[in-house]
Amino acid sequence: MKDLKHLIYFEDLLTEANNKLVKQASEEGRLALGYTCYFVPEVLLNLGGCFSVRLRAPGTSNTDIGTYYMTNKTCPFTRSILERSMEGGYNFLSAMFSSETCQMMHRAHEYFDIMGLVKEQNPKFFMSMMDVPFVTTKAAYEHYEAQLRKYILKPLEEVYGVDVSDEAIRKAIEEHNEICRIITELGDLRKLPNPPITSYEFHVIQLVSECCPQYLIKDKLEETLKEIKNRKVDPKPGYRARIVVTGSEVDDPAFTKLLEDCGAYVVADRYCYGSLPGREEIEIREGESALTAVARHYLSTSECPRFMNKEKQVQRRGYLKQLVNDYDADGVLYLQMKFCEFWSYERVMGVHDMNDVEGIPCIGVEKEYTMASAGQLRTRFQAFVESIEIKKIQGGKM
Amino acid sequence: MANEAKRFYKGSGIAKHREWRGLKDTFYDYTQWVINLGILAKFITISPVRIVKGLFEYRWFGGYIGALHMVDKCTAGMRGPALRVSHTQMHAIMKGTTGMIGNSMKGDRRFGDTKAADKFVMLEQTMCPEIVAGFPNLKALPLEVLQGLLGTYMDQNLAPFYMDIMENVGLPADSCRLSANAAGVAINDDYPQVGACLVTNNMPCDSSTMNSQLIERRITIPTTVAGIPMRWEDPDTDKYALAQMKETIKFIEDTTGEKFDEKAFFEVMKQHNKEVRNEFEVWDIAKTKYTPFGNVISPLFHAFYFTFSGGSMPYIDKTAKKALRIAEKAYRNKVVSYDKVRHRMITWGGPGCYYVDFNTWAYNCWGVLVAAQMDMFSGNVIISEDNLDEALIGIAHNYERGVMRRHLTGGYQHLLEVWDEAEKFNCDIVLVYDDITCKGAMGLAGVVNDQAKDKNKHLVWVQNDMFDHRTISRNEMRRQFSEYMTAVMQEEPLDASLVDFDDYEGW
Amino acid sequence: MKMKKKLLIGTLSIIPLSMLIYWFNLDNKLLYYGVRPILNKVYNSQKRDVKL
Repeated sequence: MKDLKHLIYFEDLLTEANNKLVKQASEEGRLALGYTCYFVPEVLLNLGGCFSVRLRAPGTSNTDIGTYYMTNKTCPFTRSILERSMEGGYNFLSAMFSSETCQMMHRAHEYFDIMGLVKEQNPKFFMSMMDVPFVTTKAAYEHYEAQLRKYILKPLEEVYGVDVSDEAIRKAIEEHNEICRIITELGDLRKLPNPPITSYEFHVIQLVSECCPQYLIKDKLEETLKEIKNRKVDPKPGYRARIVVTGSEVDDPAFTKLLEDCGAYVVADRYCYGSLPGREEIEIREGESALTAVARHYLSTSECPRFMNKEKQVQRRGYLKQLVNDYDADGVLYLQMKFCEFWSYERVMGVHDMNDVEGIPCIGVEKEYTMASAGQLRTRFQAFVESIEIKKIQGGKM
Repeated sequence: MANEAKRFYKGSGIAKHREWRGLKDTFYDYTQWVINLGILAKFITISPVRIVKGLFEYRWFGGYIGALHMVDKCTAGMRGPALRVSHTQMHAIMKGTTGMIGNSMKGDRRFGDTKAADKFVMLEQTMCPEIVAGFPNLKALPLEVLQGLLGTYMDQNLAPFYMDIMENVGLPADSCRLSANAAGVAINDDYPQVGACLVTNNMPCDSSTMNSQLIERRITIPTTVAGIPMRWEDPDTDKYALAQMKETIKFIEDTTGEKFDEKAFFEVMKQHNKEVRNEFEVWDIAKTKYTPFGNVISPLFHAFYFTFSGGSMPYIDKTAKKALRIAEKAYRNKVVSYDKVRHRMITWGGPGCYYVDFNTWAYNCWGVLVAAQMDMFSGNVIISEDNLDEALIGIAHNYERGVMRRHLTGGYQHLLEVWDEAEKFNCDIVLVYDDITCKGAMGLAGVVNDQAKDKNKHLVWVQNDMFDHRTISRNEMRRQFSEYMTAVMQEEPLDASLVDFDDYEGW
Repeated sequence: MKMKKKLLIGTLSIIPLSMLIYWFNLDNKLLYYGVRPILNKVYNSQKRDVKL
């Protein structure tokens, strides 16, 4: 297929957190609001005068400072974020929003407070940490909404005078939904037997939509959607197997590239920083406040393994199975960031359930944050793709 | 005492003979041993056939035959009031533990259907029993702790079998050992099939949040989740916490057919509060040089009644008061129970549970008395005795401030309370356990180091693998501490034979 | 009378006997070197329903 017009431009935007669009928006006087976890609703960080940046640490080569503070026995993703924040890589931020979702991530974010990071550049900078529920009961929804109000809206209003009215949230939802529609439309093309978009390209575009001011990137996303819809595909698809990827943080498109190089096409990106969930439109129901809609949306769409109630556990497996069917996938790849407690157990149970209960070929892998161990991963992925191919040849029998 | 290591067989660590503590204290120790035998005999009477069946059925149960050995280890080197306080508290621990195991066997459907099974509400992980207080016809029974933590205190070889099972199904070895052990027990079908229902929960940390989900897959009784807030200092989390408590009570009502009895509930809360107030009195004495508390058993006693009694075991209050009487008398008479003390130490973080007597070793080998340890500061919540909503919020607070959770969640400041507590308990050494799988604590390792420098405190890190002695053995833990004592503190051991000895194969 | 005497001697001899057991740690020696290996053999021969 012909290269995408804006691909290099998009790739360039992913080389650093403080990319040129972030700089432009900051210069225009907008507030840069950082976050990493899905429990912090992106849409609330895109209220008037603000823009969201989902933090990454591209180009991480070592995490010496992060390792000193958090030891080498903690999640390399959070250590890399800490390293980058200590290096001043997030000094452009006006505020950082977090939740005590997992032990290691919240620790890394606490260092903004402990070390007084960014304060020197921006004395008004603050880090806000909220509590998020483990279940999806009525009380949990109410609790989540109250926490969003207290730890996101209130400080934004008090410190920066941001308009956090219902009307302002509705407007943010409208704009957010526009981005979601573009990404979802692009993502749905992956369902085709011969998709006009590579999974690498989709990953890049999805990340760009999370890491750049959305009002500055929207035009290019729309243009790219049009381009892809009219794109002439190769006579035969380049992949040997179609897979759903699920798991913890994957914010480096090189990972998807590696999978593609091994013959796997990622039809669905159900991982942190992916579009499933993340790019579903937010619906405001009749009689519902905009904030209630946001709380309901994020809590009900989240696929985080920390949800403990049985319904959610069953739903998670069901959702994955549904993705396999909807996207006509041949298998599932469970990914776990090294040292991640949530995804280590989820991977163990999920791989078992997919293989032995659902009969869907599935492997689980642990990965580092950087692509340093790409060689080992390549071997695993190649073997997985081959096993799927053999299964196809043998008519579904392994 | 100068050549104490010679008293043990190499490898097994089994004593050739018991410790000579002088005529009076040795005879006292003998009488306490007899009492312990009595507790074990009483335990058998709960359900003799089922208990014997259970011993042969469950691998974890076999670990408990090391109980008497554990008592010896934990009282090593003790004399006078310290020995008396420790034995007094240990009796209560043994009575409680044997009672819970006995009840587990009595109600185990694996050995035949029994009505007794439905009289228990199973509480997973470190969930305390206060939530069952309003059901006088029901009893709380712990799931996980009997099959892991308590057993590991007695036998370091209990958990590795179960952890290996988890690793065989793909769980990384860097995952919390306590949770991995509990999950391994589930996979191996080694939980007693007892109880009318099970309450799982998110305590204390990420791995326990996840292992609960795995365990639930092997449990056939109805289950529910008590999801307790993490940011527990925020009063706005109380509403949600209260809702969780109410939902849990409703679940117990629905699954057992019992009705919540407010009067009975508040009676237990009163008892709970007595237990907490006793603890505060213990601290007052523990801060002085005349303390018979500290070392191993006092903190263990606190963790025990906090996790398993919560006001439901009347003998806990009696035991605590008896121990306080002994301590107060010693204080009045200016009796120094620990007369070899060169330093007072506070320990923090997740200890190596397979080395429950590390503290006695530190005292006997180096003259370092553990005057306080992290678990002592868990719980200690005074609960309302007349307002139901406030009481239920109090119970949630007690959970939020539970063992390991109190210091690892809700903000970095909680783990860093170690410096204040070290001051209060007059400790000049701070030992932080580097539990190599405990991410919540390790996430602040650098800050702890920085603050030690700023506060000019002696800080020693001792690595352990919580339940897995094969990774970091007891001798390795000793080596780390001894190196600090010689290299940094420039000191000679009180008993050089204890610096390096082999107990790798032992219980 | 003889029976009573025997009972008395028997009861009284429990104390020194138990002291011997206590002092020479015979209880733990028996449990560790005797009972423990037997239990381990039993556990190792068990077939459990191992599954996720």
